[in-house]
Amino acid sequence: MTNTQRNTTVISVLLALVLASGLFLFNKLRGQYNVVDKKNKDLTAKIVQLDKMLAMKEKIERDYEELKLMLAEQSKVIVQEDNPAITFNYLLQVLKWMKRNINFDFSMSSKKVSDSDWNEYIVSGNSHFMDMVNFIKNIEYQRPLLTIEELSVNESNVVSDTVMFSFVFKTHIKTDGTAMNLIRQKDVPAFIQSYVVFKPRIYDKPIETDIDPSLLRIDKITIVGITETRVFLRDENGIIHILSVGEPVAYGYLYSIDNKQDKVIFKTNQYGTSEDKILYLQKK
Amino acid sequence: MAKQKRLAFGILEDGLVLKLANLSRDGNQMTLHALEQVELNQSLHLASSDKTSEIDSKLNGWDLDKAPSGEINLNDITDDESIYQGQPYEALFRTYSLERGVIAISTHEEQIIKLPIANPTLSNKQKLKLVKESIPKIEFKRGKWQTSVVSINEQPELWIHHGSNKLMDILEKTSVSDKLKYYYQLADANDTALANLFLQTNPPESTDTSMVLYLGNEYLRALVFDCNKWTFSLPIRVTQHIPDIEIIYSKLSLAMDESHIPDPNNLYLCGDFCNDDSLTYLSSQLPNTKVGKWKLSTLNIDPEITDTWNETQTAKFILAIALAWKALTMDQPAFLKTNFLPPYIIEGQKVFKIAWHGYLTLALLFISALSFTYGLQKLRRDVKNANDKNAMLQKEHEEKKKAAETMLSMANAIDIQTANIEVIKTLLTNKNPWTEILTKLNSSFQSHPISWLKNLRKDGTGFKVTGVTTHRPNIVVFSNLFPKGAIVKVFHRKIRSFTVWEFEINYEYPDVNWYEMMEKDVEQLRKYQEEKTEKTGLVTLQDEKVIPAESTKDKALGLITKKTEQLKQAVIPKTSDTVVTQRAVIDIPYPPKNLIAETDNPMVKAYIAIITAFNQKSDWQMIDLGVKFNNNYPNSPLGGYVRWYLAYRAMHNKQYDKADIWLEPLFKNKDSIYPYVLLLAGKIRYDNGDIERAEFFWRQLVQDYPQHQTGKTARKLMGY
Repeated sequence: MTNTQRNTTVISVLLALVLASGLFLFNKLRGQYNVVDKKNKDLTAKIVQLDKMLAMKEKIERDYEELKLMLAEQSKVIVQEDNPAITFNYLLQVLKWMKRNINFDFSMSSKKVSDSDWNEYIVSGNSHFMDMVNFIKNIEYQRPLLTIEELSVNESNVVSDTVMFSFVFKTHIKTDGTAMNLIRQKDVPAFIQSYVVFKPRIYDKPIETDIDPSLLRIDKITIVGITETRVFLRDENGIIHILSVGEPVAYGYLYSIDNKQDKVIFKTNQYGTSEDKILYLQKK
Repeated sequence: MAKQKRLAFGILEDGLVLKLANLSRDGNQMTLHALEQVELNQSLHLASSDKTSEIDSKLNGWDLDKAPSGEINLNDITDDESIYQGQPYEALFRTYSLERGVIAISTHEEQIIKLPIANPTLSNKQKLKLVKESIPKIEFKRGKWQTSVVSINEQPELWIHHGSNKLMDILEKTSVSDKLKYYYQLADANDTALANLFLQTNPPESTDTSMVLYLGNEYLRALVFDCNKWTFSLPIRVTQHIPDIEIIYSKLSLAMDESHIPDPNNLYLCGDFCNDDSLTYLSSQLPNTKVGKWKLSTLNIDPEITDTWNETQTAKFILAIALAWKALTMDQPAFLKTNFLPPYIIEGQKVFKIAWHGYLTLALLFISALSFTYGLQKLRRDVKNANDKNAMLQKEHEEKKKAAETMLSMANAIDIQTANIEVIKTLLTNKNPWTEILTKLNSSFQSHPISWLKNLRKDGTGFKVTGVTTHRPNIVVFSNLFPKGAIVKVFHRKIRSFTVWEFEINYEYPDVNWYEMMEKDVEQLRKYQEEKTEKTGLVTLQDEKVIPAESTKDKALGLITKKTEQLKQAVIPKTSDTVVTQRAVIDIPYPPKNLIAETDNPMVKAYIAIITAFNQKSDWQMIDLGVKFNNNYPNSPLGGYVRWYLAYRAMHNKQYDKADIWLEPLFKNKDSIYPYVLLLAGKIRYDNGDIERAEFFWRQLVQDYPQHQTGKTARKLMGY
């Protein structure tokens, strides 16, 4: 092999090395470039979208507020934050929605921390039964997730529509829930009839109610005369009153006049149930 | 860094004497380091004449182009090494380590054929023809010839060296046996070597005629120079082994006469027979000529040899010195360009010589390297730029993504809510039955007189009721009201003349169908999401996607349409026994017809656009148009109406502060719109939870405008 041939061979080997290493480096760099370029294209596309979004930021934020409102108007929502002030304020808000005022005692019972947190509260008080029922109904059916764990209702000591009640409830919390201030009132179904089931219907002593003082008290009158349609009665002061059938007396009304038997019948309800009271003409 | 000195060895074979001169060149300075000669046992040419036929026959098949490394390995071509072994020159070569420098050798005079030619620039064809005619065919066929053109007195001659250079052969043999690499610079004819030395050392401005008379063992020659121009080369042919100076001079005189050469101004004697007797004799014969030894005044003498050196030695070794000198000054422009080194030797020594294919490959290598360098640099720059851009884009993306987080959170709000509904479902399982319990008890006890409850409370996993009835069968009915109703006890007592039955019943909690309600919510969300995905392509944040801005408007339109319906319901709610009528219709002001009669008026057009947007529930469009209207027509009589609508919309968006800002200027003028302003101001306060302030506005409205529609509405709102 001549020097020139040898030199050509050496140069050829160098050429091959240069080509191989050049191609290797070229491919490696091209690969790197392609990867980065693809990332850049993706990022650019995202930025373009973000730019478009940001150009409409105000609108979208308003839309988002609307969406939040819509979400807040789901049948039930879990609130994102709670403390006694928030829950107490919510109870007052419920009363405001009810347009009622119920006096109640309020205290926090316990607090639990877990994936789905809750705070437990106790409420007790006296109120009209229907107000209490509506209060319970609103707590159960309004949008914020409050669960009544215990309820106790007791009739009042005196005959009235008022009941004594107490209940324990939990306010459930989730950090990605809805802000309490966004939650609007929901129309809860009015399925309960207006009837006070805790009111005693029969009692030993008469109900002390406001009786019109002008009405005659049956136990304090005497019959002084009877006609077919009228009866003449004298009260404790000696004043004579004339009544026809159907006219009111204290706790009732004149039911019938029997002039043949000289008797009159009053229908009264002084002990929770209707009673007949019969008075006879006193013969002199 | 000082440039390394170049060494050259001039080697001359002249008869039975082999002479060596060692010179070095440092810049333009020549230094003589050694002069040495050895006696040969026999002439190289005579010794080899018997064997050359064998060697030549072996060389016959030698292909110069295929010669390995351009070297001849004599071991390969002859087994008889006796002709060279044990020769004194081997010690000479080894002593001076010839591999340290370049070697210049002489050629044998008998191997040089000198042909006068007409034109110094012979074509190759003409040259080949002359060579072919002049040398033996076998040598021509083997390529064992070299040529040089020499001009003497402007008469060009073609000098052809043919056959092997025996001096080179023994040098090669020594280098092979000693495994040394010799570098051959020059193989020159004695004439040209001497002429070259004279021309380079003689002052260029000299106008004298000079003669160099070299008297060697076999080589005897007179070279004539006129004004630094080589004009004659006169061979001195003598038959004596040791010729007398008289004979030499007579031969010289004859040659000068034949060539019509006058006596020179200077005669420089050199060679083996340069001695004082010769000088004296020549001086006597040439009285007009300055006769002397050739001294080489520009040549430095190595201090190490000054003890043994004298001028006569320089003159004796002048031809060896001339060879070494020429080898060291081949880069000088004035030297005579003759060289009879065989081409294969020259080529073999050119380690880095590149042929056309080498140049082609080199060009490819260069182009490849250049293009790769350029391409790679560009690509590297591109990668760097792309990385820089990537960092910049990532930073920008992060910033914008952060800025758009609120918007992005919209995308997954529905998913979160759907997940929350599932949580709510779980939490509501067997919970909140009390409304249903109370409802059923109320209804049943009312329809089964005379009965009432004394107590209701939780008991274990269920609840217990205690009640009273006047009709015992009612207790059985009551016990079936709820799951697993169990009568715990029943006892009777008298109230006045009535017998009543007190009872105690335990129940399990009834199931309340919260799922159905929740499913409705989920279904609503699902429909919304499907609508949103189909129409707007809105996708969740988890997919690392964003809301396409083009579709946001459509989505927002759909959403606001839906929402406005809900808001409308808020303004005109369904009344029930539990929802009071504070949220009744509030009255909307309408401008007098004359104000909006000119429909071509830009102001009226703008107003109509606002009302259209309001009616189409396009909140943002209405707000945008409203703001522009107030800016463009600050004193417009329609401005109050626009403000009222903007305040109304802000109120429904729960932006009460903004609503107040829109409404504030309208309190100044008690014009036709004022009662509507009071009504709306009260509504804003009411919605914001400030009942007292709401009633303040409405009460004022009732007092000041009792017969106005807004006054009547205010009364309704306050529940009068």
